[in-house]
Amino acid sequence: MVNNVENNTNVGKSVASKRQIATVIDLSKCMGCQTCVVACKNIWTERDGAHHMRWMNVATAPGPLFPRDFEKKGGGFDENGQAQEGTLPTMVDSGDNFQFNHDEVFYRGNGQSVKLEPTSVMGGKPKWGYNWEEDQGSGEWPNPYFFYLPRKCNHCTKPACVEACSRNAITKREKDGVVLINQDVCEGHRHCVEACPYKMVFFNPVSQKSEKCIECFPRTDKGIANACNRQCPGRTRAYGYLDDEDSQVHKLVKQWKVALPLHPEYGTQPNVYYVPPLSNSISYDENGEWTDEPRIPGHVLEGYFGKDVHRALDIIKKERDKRKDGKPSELMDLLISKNWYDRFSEFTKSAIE
Amino acid sequence: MKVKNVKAPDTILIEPMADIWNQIPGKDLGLVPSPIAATQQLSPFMALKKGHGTVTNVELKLAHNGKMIFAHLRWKNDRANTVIKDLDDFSDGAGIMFPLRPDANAFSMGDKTNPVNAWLWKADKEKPFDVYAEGWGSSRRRPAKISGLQTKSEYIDGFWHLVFQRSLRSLLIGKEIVNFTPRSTLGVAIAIWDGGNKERAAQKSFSGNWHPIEIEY
Repeated sequence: MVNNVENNTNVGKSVASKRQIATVIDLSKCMGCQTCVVACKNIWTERDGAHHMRWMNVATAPGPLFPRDFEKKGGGFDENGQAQEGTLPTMVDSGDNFQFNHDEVFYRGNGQSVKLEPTSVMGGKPKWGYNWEEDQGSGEWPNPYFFYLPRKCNHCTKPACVEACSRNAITKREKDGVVLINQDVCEGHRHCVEACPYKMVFFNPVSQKSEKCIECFPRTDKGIANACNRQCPGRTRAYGYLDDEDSQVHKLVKQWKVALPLHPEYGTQPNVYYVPPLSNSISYDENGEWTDEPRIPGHVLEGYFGKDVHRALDIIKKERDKRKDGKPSELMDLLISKNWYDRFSEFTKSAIE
Repeated sequence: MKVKNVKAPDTILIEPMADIWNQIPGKDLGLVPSPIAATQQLSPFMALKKGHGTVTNVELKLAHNGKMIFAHLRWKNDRANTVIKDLDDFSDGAGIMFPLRPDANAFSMGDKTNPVNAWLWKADKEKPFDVYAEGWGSSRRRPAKISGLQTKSEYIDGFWHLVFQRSLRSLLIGKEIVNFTPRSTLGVAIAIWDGGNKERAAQKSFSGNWHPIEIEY
């Protein structure tokens, strides 16, 4: 048992790390372009048994997100720190791995008689896929709403996956808090998959082992930011050590406190933080007149980020209004980040160097 | 129970349905769901599991032919779970475990000073595993070739029939592997996993404390 000094929690296995890297994502700016998803997929999960894995994924909220309905699949800890039962996502829940009939469409001389069609990797017509409900969101005309929610392994401070593994195959690196699954020790029992309340551990049915985001450690160990953060064209991301007072991550999470964990009630202390979306769309009343109500209802954001989200949104709005009045705002400068490299603290090397 | 000395070739004794097995007396071992709450320190998540241990008994027969030892297992399973295709599929499995020290505890799979050696069969794998363990969570699978371990299995009429075959003396001399000497006695324990019930790791049926076996001369 080790006392995690920073968070004053007892963890069953020795997982306290000396430092913790973290990611901040500004949800006002995410446009769901999936560049981060493709960056990760190209580097890490374009291989047998891993095609269904989207270690980095972006889905439309509100919605079933990815894996489908993960918020109803348990895991994590309750308010007393007790482990909670979880269930395993299926292949279809994990977005499937559609198989296409490219050969008969392009190369068999079938002309227009055969159309390109996906088949589920489990057989038959697809029943669900990654981003099946893209852009549907919620609400009723004239005030429908949605936002994009990019998710990945949170490299939690109290990782349920580490606690769950009966073989001690999962460890948290002391130097930066990155959580890794040892593929030589893992036997694919998948207790970690059940235990992760974010369902960000994935089973590989070919190797029969569990895998997850490795925080691009071969890059970060060399001072290159992780691929999803670096590739984002929307400038939504910040990356760095939580304790580095010069980093945007520290300023947004610890100083301004506008970057919040997703589902803090899951009890794992995740280290991906979100600046909640300040609805950019105008809301309309029954007469078609503009109102001051945010398009995304407060209670919806509260469901994702907890009650603290109202305080964070008030601060962001106040700082934005300062800029509208021509006054300076450190927070707005941080979120805009004119110098792109400022986002990545010491992880500014290019992968090509 | 006795490990009978039988004059028959390997090629016959490896066959689970060979007639010779009908002449070898066996023992019906009762199985219980493994006491999983005891794994709380190892995994507070696995310790929550209930409903495992659907297989309630296994018929065990043991024989050797002076060169090879054979363990014949027969147990009821409602389906043969032999493929892991979906992400929540698990395969059927069976394990037979031997102490490497007289004081090894069967329930805990040994400990650091009293390890155990086991043979592990998984229905979706062609080759079995040799397993070495020094207590829960420490088990490591080793390739079968270090002891010449082989298996053959058949699923017929709702029953698995499985034979493990291994040389009486292993090529690896030392304390890390079980060896069988005529007239010696040692313990044996069995574990069965019902893949259809999503059983794996400590979620299994278990035969309890060691059952003594004697290698017939």
